[in-house]
Amino acid sequence: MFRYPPFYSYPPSFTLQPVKATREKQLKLWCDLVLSYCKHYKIFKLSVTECATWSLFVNTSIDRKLSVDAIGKVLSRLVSMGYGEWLNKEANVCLVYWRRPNEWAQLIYDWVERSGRRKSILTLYEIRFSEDTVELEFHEMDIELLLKSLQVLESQGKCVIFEGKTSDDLGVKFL
Amino acid sequence: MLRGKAIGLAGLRREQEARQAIDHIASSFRKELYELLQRQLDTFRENLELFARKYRKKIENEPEFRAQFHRLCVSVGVDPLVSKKGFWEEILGIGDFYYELAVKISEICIATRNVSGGLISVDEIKRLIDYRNEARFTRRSSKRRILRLQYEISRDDIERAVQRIQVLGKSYSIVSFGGIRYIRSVPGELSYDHSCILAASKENGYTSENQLISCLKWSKERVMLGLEGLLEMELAWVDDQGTERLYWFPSLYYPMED
Repeated sequence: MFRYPPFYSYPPSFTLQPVKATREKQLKLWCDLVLSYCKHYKIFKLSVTECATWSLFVNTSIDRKLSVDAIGKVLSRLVSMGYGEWLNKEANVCLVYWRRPNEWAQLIYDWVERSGRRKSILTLYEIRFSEDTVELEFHEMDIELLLKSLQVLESQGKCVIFEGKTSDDLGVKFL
Repeated sequence: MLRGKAIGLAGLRREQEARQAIDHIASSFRKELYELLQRQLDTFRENLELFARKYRKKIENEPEFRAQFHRLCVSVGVDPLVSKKGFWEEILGIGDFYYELAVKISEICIATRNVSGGLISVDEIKRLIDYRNEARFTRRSSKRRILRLQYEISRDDIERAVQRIQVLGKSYSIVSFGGIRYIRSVPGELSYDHSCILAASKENGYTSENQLISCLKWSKERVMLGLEGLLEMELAWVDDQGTERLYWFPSLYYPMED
């Protein structure tokens, strides 16, 4: 059961504050909430228009909600702090890094070593959906995020990514 | 006093001797009197100690009684708050009690400082502490002396505990604006108008332009100036999702932790 912080029950939290210093505090509080909410529910991607109706941004008990504009500002702040990345600025979709790509990369590579999979080739689909990864944090993770994490490993010389028809088809060889 | 022009040197010396004799008698009298008072005070303190042991439960459980007892102690020169390692601490655990309350208060101030602008009313602190105490009642009490429900906290207790924090460092102070007592944890000044607005909003923790105009009988300009000042000082937040723009004051009311 997700527990909301006190500011979520405070009506003015849902109005973008005009005074800069107060707005800074407000945005920080919202960013923290977005990260812990996404971590709790294993949400990797947010689409601004879609999530505007979620209870994350709508508190019916006090009859307040965060506007689409304000949500956009919160996510922009998240991105600028390095906890997210815009996938599609026009469609307002962004990846949420409640764990950063390099941290995911580490987790994945640890599993590769532990399970003796170095030198083997896997598809992204297998990494995400194989029975062997069911217990693991990156099971069913977002494909874009997985790709980014693997790209980190590639830049570290720990793997090579191969061509494929679709993202899921992409192969990766761990070194 | 010796008078007369024909005093001369002998006269002066006599005067001096007389004064010295008086001083000598006075000082030995003072000394005796002082010692007598000391003995009486010691006896009084012993009796106070017996009293404290006998009425320990009452002192712990009843805020009014505790306040009176505290005043009594201070009047005979014993400050239970300061003597942490003394026998008062052992008999009553009162030193510990205020110390722990002080810690609780500073925790709350720090946790809410972000939104409250460093000002929180004594009533609000009491409400938050009472709420936490009630929650704790349902859990098992541990061996450590924590604030349990049986220690009912009064507003006096809170103010006394804040005085204790002040001994450690000047960052906390009790201030009064418009008839409301606040604990201030960051420096700053409130004007008369600002404090009036806060006082007028005490009931709900929020207000609106129209409400202030009708309640304070000020002009719209004066109200707006006051509200803008409070916004700038980060003591107020706006809320545009009601029927009219509302101004909320975290110092007066803020939701609690679940």
